[in-house]
Amino acid sequence: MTSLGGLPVGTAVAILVMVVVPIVTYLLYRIDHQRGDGRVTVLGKR
Amino acid sequence: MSEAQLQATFGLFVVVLLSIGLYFFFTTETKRLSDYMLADRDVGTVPIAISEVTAVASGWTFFAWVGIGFTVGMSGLWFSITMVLIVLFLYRFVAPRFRRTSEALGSQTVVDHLASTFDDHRLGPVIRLVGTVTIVVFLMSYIGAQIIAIGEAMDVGLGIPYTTAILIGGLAVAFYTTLGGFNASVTAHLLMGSLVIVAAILVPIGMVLEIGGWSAFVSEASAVDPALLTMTGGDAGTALLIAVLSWVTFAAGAIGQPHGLMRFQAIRSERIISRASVIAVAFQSLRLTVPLIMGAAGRVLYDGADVHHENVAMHAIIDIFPSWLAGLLLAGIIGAILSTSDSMMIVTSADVTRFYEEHLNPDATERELILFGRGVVLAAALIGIALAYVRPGTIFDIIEFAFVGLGASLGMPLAAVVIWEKTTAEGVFATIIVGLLGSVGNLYLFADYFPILVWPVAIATLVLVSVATYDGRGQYADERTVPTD
Repeated sequence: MTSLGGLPVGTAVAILVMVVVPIVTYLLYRIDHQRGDGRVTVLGKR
Repeated sequence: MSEAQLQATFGLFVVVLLSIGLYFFFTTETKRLSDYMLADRDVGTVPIAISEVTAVASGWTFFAWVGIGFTVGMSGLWFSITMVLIVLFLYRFVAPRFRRTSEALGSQTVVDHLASTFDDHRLGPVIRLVGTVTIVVFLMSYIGAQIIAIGEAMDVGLGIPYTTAILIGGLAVAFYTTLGGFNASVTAHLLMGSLVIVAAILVPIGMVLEIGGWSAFVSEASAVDPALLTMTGGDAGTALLIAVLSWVTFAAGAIGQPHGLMRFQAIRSERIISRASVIAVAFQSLRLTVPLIMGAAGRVLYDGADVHHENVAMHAIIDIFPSWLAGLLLAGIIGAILSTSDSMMIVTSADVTRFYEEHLNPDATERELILFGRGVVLAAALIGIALAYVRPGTIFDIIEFAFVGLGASLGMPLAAVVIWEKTTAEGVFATIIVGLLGSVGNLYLFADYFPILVWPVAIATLVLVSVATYDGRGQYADERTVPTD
């Protein structure tokens, strides 16, 4: 069973995770930025 | 392709590196040890993020990790996913408080932080001693692996004999680090990190195009080895479980690479940690995914050829790209290795110097300490060169041993000290010992299960000993180590 450019499903999902994690990191940064001075405010510990 | 052109491009790169060291030696007023070791805790977002990744990117990105892509294929992504999640965890859960408490304590490294946290405890000095021994054991191995990679890269890529190459590479990095300290290290990382990003994008594209495009790559890689592009690596049942656990526990070492964590202590402000995490996580994702594709593509291009699996990227760069670009890409790759080496030398130097200051010569002046620190950097480079000459294992083998050992013995106690207030000096001390001996024991007595066994033992030690010795007053009880914002 293949997907995403012919790669096996498991590999495609793994690569997708590697792409999504930086995007999530960016969204968390945007939340931190909007809530104050940029310090970690969500999903973290100050 | 002209070997002379390649050597000229790389030679220019080495000159730039040495100039960076000289620049900071002559222009920076390095009067205090913290100026030399942590650039006076004033490093900005981009340099700190790029430097944090480049500090650990090392020979494994373009050598060991490409070799894994070549031999076992994309199943290495189990490692990549685990590591990138740990990096995110470090930035959001560990870095803010670590930065703050590090400044309050005046700590300069992970070992220094652990020892300083328990400064008033009878085990404080012992934690510094065993921590420093642990740093020397694992980081010297790690530096040796980096210099092997430097030798391979210059040998294969530039035609410089291996022995000459390890001498040139080892001494060049020692020279600019000795002179410029952390400032030179971070600046050089910015340059090298940028080249690594360029290489990480161009090289796999060039290799896949050389095969005939993405579809050709997928079909030919699957034809060479049907398991190469799968997440199982061809394993099933218990073998698959052990393989996945091996990758995940290997990646767990990311929690405590002292040369990377040191960047959190040097960052200008806690307010830029979240922003820096975006760059660092994106860079990590790129450099942990792309080399596996390069390795798999290399399997198609070089299957059956007389090419060592860890040198595939070097051969591909020379075979595919024009010489000026190949020279630049090789400089980036060798630069990544140099940058890891300089970070490790700085950490080793900082810890040995702090030990010297605390226990051997408490009256030493700042000038004497800086001089001593520079001497340790040079000694670390020479030992690394000697190890590279002996070559005790493959680059991957040595990196795996050191990476896991550092994470289990130092990284986990540091994370615990920062986020779990019931962590005790006894728990930290026991975990460093168990992490050090457990890593060696797991490797030599149960090699088939390395590094799966060391983690549960180290975690159990940390939790059980801390709970058993916790007296209701955590290390943060006096607020000294956790200043308010």
